[in-house]
Amino acid sequence: MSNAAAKILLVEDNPDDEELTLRALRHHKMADNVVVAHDGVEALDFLFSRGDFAEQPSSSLPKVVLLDLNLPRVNGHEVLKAMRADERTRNLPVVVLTSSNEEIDIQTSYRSGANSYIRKPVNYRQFVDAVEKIGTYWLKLNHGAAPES
Amino acid sequence: MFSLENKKNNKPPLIRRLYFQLVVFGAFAVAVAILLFTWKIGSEQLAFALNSNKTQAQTLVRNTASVAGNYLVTKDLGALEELLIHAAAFPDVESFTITNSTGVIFASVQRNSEGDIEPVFITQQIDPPTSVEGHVSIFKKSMELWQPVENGSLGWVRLRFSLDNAEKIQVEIWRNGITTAVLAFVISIIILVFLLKRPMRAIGNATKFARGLFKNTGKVMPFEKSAFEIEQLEHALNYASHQIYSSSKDLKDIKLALDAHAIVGITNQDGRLTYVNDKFCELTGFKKDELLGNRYSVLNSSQHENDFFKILWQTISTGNIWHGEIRDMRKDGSFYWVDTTIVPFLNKQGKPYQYVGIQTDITERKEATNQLQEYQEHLEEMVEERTQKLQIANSELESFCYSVSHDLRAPLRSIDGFSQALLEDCTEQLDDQAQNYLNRVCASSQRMGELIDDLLKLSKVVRSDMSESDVDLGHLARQVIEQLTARDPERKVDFSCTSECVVSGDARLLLAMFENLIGNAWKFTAHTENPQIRFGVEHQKTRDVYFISDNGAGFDEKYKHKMFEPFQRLHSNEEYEGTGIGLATVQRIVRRHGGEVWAESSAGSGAAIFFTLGE
Repeated sequence: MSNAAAKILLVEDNPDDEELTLRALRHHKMADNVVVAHDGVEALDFLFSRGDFAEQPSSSLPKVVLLDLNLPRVNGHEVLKAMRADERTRNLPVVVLTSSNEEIDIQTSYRSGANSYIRKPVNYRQFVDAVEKIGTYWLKLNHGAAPES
Repeated sequence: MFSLENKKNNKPPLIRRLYFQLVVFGAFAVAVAILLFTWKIGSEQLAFALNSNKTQAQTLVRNTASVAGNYLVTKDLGALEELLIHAAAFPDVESFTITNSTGVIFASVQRNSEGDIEPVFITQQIDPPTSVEGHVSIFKKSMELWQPVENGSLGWVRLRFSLDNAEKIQVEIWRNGITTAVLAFVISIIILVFLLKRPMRAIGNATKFARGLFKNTGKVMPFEKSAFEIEQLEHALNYASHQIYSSSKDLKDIKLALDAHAIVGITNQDGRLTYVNDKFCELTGFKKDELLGNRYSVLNSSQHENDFFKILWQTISTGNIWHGEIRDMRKDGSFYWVDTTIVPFLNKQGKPYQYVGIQTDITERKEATNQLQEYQEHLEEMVEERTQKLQIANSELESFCYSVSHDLRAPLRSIDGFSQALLEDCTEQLDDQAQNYLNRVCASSQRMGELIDDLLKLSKVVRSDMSESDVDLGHLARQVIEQLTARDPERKVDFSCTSECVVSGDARLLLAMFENLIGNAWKFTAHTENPQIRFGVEHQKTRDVYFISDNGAGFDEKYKHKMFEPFQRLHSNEEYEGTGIGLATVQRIVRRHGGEVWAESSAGSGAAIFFTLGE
């Protein structure tokens, strides 16, 4: 976890998925400045500069959050709600990246303020492709808004 | 039940007596009339004879007295006797006597037993009448006349005149009268016997016929020429016979119909059974002779409150009809229910003399109703319980599916991902065989991913809620074709579709169904020249049958019963890819709409899937 301005916050509890996601990002030269949080608490601590991340300047928010839903302690939906409830992270782009394609998850995610919902394909080639598109889109094409304060 | 009993009696004794009486009294009346007539004639004749005798005797005594005057003056007793003998020549004279004024007999003659006149000498004195006029006394067999001579100063003439003659006439008249009466009596009897024979026979026949009316045979009696009144009687009887026959036939037919339908029992006014029909015995299990004479209460089940029968009895004993349902007991102790109507039959005084009970066995209905009631009472509970169970099962299924979708796919992604990574990152260390194996690992994990996805889709069909609306099936079909064409733009498929086909159903599920059906058709026409897919409807009598047909690979009809089972495939994966979940999904969607689905084909000549939606 680099303290230099993180570009991507990856919230992922499954180490395999973490490794494969990071490998895909590496493949497309986007693995620099990726912060990985292994559960919801860690993710929120990082975003709000508290707990282990208390010393981190509050202004150094990532450009995008890749959020898994099925997380220990605080799950993805709760993380999303907490982010949208706080003005610092209200406009931060969140891409839900999960195994689920349950209608209820999709609905809840968008209602809670997700910007995108992507289901992880089983096929790794497709997954790599998807990660590349996400990275390109959110890091290079998309213009984020400054945090409201 | 409506038995009309009567003693058989063909002889009409009444008619014989009437016949006898009419004849005898008729003849007797004639005889009495003749005797009365005789009596009248006799008395008139007697009076006439008496009068005539009296006149005769008076003339005779007057003449004798006037002649005797001279001889009395002269006291010529011989002449007086001579005079009397002449005067007494008249045959009815019994005796002639002449006295002086004081009653001393001067001369006297009388008729002896031979009928001759002879003088008698009587010295005794007789008392002449005190008056000076003639005097007549009439006795039973004679009369006595006194005639004064010169006002009695000279003497008196006494004549005794026989009335035998008059009496003889009288006797003669009576004899003739009685003879005539007897004759008339006999002749009358003979005439009346003949005269009354025919009407009496007619009356006898009519009586016999009337007695036979109860048999209700509808016969008419032979018509006999007779007196007008009897003819009228015969007419009336024939009419009555016809009426009785037709009304009793109606009654019989009604009884037959009633016995065929209902359980019928009749009791007398004490409640003792006097009649039961076959159905009654059949239901109760008793024989007729076990029931007749017994009270209806032998069937009492003791299942009703005391008031029940009290009210029933109050109702019918006051002449009212009772209707209700009774629970009774059979001979074997089992219970039955009868819908009952009891009709009291009233006598002239308005008091019931018998009760007719008409019943229908409603045991089954009653039990069903009771059971239904019981069910109804528990239904809500049961529904609640079931709903709860269903909710639990549903939520379990929900969380199971959620786990499947997440937790089963994650390891697959790892297998596929790291196999890929291995292939890409360590190509130099891996020989061709190792690479081949890794490729197979990837393919298998991907296929398993597809299987899991399809399985989830199938389970979604079952557990999702139905939201019904009007759906145009033709529109759905075209929509699916458009999707497929967009995905496979190089394929040219001839699609034809019925113009409009609106049904009521769940649009999302029906779309999933069409995706599967048309997707299949699309898939199995991949190797066909000029591929065709058709969607249409056949309007049958009671339902609409929809179909999707193609001219593709088709299938072997032998296996068509397997087609709708999950993971059942009739083609190899190399030929046509797929998981075998599509038609199973279709079947579940059709069933959720209350319809049915079936397939027809012969291998190589295309396939058609037919389905209905609801009734």
